[in-house]
Amino acid sequence: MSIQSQIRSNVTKTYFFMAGFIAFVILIGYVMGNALGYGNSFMYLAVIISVISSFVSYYWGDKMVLAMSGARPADRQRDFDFFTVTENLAIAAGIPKPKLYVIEDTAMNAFATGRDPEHAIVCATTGLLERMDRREIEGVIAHELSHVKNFDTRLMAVVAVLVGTIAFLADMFMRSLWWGGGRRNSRDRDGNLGGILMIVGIVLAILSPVIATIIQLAIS
Amino acid sequence: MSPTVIVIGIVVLIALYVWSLYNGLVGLRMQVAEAWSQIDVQLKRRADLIPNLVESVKGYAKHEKSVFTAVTDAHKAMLGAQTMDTKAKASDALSGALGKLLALSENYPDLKANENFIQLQKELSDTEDKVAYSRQYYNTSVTDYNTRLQVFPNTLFAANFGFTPKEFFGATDTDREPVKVNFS
Repeated sequence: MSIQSQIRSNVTKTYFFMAGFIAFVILIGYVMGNALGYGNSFMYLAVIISVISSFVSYYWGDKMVLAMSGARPADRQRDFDFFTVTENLAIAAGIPKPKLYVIEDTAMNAFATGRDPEHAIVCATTGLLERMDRREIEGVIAHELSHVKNFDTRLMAVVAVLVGTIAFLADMFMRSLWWGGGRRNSRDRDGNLGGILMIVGIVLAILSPVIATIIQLAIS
Repeated sequence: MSPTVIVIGIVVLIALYVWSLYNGLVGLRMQVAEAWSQIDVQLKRRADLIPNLVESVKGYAKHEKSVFTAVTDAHKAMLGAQTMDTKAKASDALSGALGKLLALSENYPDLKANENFIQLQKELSDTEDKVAYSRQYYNTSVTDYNTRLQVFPNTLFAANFGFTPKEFFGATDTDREPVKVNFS
């Protein structure tokens, strides 16, 4: 597969999975809402939450990740090797130089995030930068830049937030069960149907985080 | 579907294809031009580092006149070079002179330990890397452009639009000779 077709494939996969997850969330919302007796209102709420999550993850996912990990911007004097190696490799790859951040941590780790090469961020820990020499850092950065150029970062950011949303909804459902059933509305005349929906709802609530994680692993 | 409609459809499809081919080639040709000036940017950056380097070495090794003149002459030649050929020659001369300048530090331990000198060495080495990477990017752009020109359906049309293949950045004959290491 050429690099262009890989990029196209990742961008398409991103949209497909956003659509697929939203559909999955709607399904869960429908089943759980009706099982609890809230009718379709639960589903509408689920749709709103999932759409908002998708947009937030798309535009701000990278800043969220940085804030969570306590990263500081890289400085040319202090992190000369990290800085210049990334500059050089970005020249060779034909992408703009990503913003660089450093995390104070003894564990050796590095990651890339951001929705496209123009908004990319590469982050490394001090553990990695101190223990690796210039050539080894070059290998790590080359790997991260390949993720950036391939649009993997966009796909993974979107998927991660959507998986989280599903876990959140499943959790909400389990809590409403625990704190006592829902209202009975006029649709719920048949006791058996309510019971079946309830069972399906519980099964989905338990399985959906697992399914979502499996889908996430399948994409990565 | 009557034959007229089919023929019109085919003509429209071919027109769309030719249009997208032309625009694609223009884009790639622009990228090759950009990559070419990128190399110049990095070479200029290297030339800009030279005066600082010479000053910091002069502070410790005032008497090594021949080396200093070699570097300053090469630097002047680099600044004045306009065509690709003269630039390549000047760049090679500069690399040679710089090598001798940096080797001076072996005889002057104070110079070798000087923080400024060490930092300038790192910057110079990094700039040489940048020159190499920008040449690599130029070659990548040329590959994409030439390939797009020469794949089958495109060859029928590309020449009519005046697109010509570009040349790669290669090694010169002196580059291909075995390297002689001489510490005298």
